Amino acid sequence: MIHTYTTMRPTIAGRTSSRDQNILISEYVKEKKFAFTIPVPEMVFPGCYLQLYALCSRAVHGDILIMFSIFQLAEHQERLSLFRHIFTKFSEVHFARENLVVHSLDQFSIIEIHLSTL
Amino acid sequence: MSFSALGYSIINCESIDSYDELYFQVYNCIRTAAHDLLSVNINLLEHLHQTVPPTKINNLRVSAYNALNKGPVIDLIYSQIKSYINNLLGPDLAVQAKVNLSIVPPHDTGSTIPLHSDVNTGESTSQVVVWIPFTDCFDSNSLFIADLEGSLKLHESLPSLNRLDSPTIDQYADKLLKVRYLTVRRKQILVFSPILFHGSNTNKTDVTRVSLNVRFKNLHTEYEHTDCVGKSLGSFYKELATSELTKIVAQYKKPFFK
Repeated sequence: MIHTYTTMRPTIAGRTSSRDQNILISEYVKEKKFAFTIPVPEMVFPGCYLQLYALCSRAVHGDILIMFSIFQLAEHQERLSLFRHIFTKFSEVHFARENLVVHSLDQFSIIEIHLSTL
Repeated sequence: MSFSALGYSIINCESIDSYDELYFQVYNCIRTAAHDLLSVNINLLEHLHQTVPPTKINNLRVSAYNALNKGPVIDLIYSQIKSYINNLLGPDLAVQAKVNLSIVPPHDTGSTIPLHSDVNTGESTSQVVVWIPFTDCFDSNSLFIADLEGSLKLHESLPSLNRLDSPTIDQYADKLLKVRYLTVRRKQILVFSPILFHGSNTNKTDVTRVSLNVRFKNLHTEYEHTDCVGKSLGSFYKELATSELTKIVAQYKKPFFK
């Protein structure tokens, strides 16, 4: 199953409205021929990842996670632990804004390189 | 029980004519979208899933949503709840500029909306959500909603759940939140506070749910809960009604002394 995840707070890459994030994800899943699912928006509070943790808990092994942007992860203080947690369930993590796919924990450095560009 | 005790009310629509006109518009937009996108003819909204496959529902929904919002949908909704909303929010009103359309067919896992509260996604606490079904809503094809007391406690508890090794918000809710599916019939309208946690699960009935939701608030109350994008007056909200006093105040220009 596909799970989609957006953010309601600005990231270090800037501000994008909920509507625009949904449109981008909708176009991304269409291009990749995935089924559309209604995005789960993260809460507005700084450093909050409550909906992402719940998404990981709800997912079953082999599901696919599509985030709006890699920069949604920038505030997380323990990104490696988070990614280890994510890959216990998800087989792929997509970042629609950056058109990027990460297939395993081994590719974690890709995330860090992207985040260090800003 | 009152709105202040429950955090929500289910009311009868105040104008049957407006409801019928709104139903007609919703039905027509969906029927036209189904015909144009999929070359199929729909019959009852409740049976939409019999002619539209789940993979095409979102395209259909977006097309119908765009068409619907070109018409007088907000005026038609307002005329069904005018007295109730004016009592709750006063005569100065702002309304969400575009009305959301939900289409939830049976067994479609892509249409679920997990437990959430709108105030945590940037909406103002000083608004109400107006939810209008066009099919009878019951059991899992309806919205589920948490009780006010439990919702208030969960809001306070959110920071303690924000750790990888904490219970998730769902696990907390399973243990401590009283949640129920609301039965809302056609020509009834649900009005609820965005402070209440709510959501929708996989529809396990054999009936498609079609509903609209839109937010109303007092024009002069806050627009954004925190630093959130795009929820302001002029973008996400638009002015709907103003009192006599507000009309006068709008003309006043404060003198500027150098």
